[in-house]
Amino acid sequence: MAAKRWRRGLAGAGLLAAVLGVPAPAFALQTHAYSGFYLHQIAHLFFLAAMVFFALGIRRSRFALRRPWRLMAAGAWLLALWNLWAFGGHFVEVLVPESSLLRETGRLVPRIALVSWRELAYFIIKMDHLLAVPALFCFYFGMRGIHRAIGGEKGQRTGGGA
Amino acid sequence: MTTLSLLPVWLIDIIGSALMIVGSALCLRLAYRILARDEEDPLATYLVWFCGALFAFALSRAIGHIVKHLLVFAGRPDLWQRLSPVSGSINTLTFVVIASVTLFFQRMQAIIHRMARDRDKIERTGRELLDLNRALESTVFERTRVEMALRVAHDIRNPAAIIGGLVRRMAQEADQAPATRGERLALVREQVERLEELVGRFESISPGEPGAFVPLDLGGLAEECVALLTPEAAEKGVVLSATLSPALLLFQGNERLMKIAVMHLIRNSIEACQRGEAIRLTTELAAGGVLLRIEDNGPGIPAERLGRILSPTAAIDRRGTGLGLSYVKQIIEDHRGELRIGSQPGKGTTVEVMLPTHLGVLRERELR
Repeated sequence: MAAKRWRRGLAGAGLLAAVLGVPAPAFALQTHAYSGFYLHQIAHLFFLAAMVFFALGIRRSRFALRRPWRLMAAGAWLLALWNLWAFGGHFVEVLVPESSLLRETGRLVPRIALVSWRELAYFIIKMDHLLAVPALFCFYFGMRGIHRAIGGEKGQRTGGGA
Repeated sequence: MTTLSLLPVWLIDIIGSALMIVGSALCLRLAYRILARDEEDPLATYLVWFCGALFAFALSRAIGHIVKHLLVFAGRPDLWQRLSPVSGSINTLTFVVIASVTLFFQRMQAIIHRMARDRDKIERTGRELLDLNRALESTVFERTRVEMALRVAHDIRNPAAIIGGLVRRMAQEADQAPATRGERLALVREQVERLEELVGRFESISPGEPGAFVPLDLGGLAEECVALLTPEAAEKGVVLSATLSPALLLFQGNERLMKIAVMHLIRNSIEACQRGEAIRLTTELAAGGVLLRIEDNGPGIPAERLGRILSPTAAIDRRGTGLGLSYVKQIIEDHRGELRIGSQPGKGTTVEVMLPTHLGVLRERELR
């Protein structure tokens, strides 16, 4: 039994010595030159899924009976749509070559040359705030409704409960 | 070749970014206000987290976009090239945070549902406890009444039998000597006096029987409560004052219980009021009773809460003052009085305690 344990220990030490003594490219640290883009896109999908679950969660609960919560759900749907929009927008952004953006001297704002559908899509899809801002204001009006529903500004009296 | 200016895109981007910061900041502000109303409410806590994540998302994104445009306008797009990976990474992080917080919503709903169920259970149990308490009180009262009746019967039996025997013998022996008659009449008188003394003893104990009720002055009681609670109100910055009737406002009551009830009502107002607000106590003689009024200009009670404020669970407060307003209500009702609460959200609350002045009123009310 002791001999077996001794042999195992020796084999382990030999393996460790081989690993440490004969270094070879291990690729333990990977570079992230392109992972940022993919990570951002995956985060958009995660965000989208969370918003869909949030909206569905409200819809399936008793909260759906109250207008402020319906506004919160509307905000979540809009943000989900915004994520889809931005997700597509990032791909289109990659597809549009730098040469399509015309930076003329003396002009602060560049122009875009409509060479193909990509440039037109870029022009439209870049206005994603048209979805994000209404989403946030849906949340704001929802929150305001919730605040009003529980009774105004100041502290509550014993015996209450939201 | 057709070209389009990117000015509308840039304008929407800058204005939209600013609006996102404003919108999300307003959401966060409201979330904190909701939380301030009840710091232990899980939904309010969740809304702060949700709006906090939303604000972080809007801020990181908007700042990134605005800085980008500013640097391009300033002729330093190269600087933006260096900053954009950092800005993008922070933005990605906020996506993950807001998504994670949002996914917790399902769990939050389960917690809220469970709390509502537990609250109903506590409310039912509270009601059962109050019913049990009342049943016990009535049992004790009934037992005391029966014991008293038995004691009365026992104590009266002997003198009644002696009087009866003596009077019967006097009737049978009509021709007896005046001296003997005089002795027997003296014995009858002696027993009658014993009976009178017995009746007097019962008369003296009967008013004090239900819970040691004694005549109390409502003004004095209110004054004492105000004096005790003034430091507490001052510490919170609430002005506590009393306008008491110059007349003695007497009622039958248990001093200890009535003090507990009045102090609870005042303390309740202090807790509800904010710094600079005021509470005023007034006492007056009303039709058939004495009235104590506690008015405050605090936040008031929302209509939906006012309806159930006297229920046992609604009264369980964070400071652990027990059964709260339902307990106060029971004390007032045990004094055959009435507790009335009126409120206008944003304007204030008025609590009125009406107590009958004498036992006659009690009996009239019992008959009604």
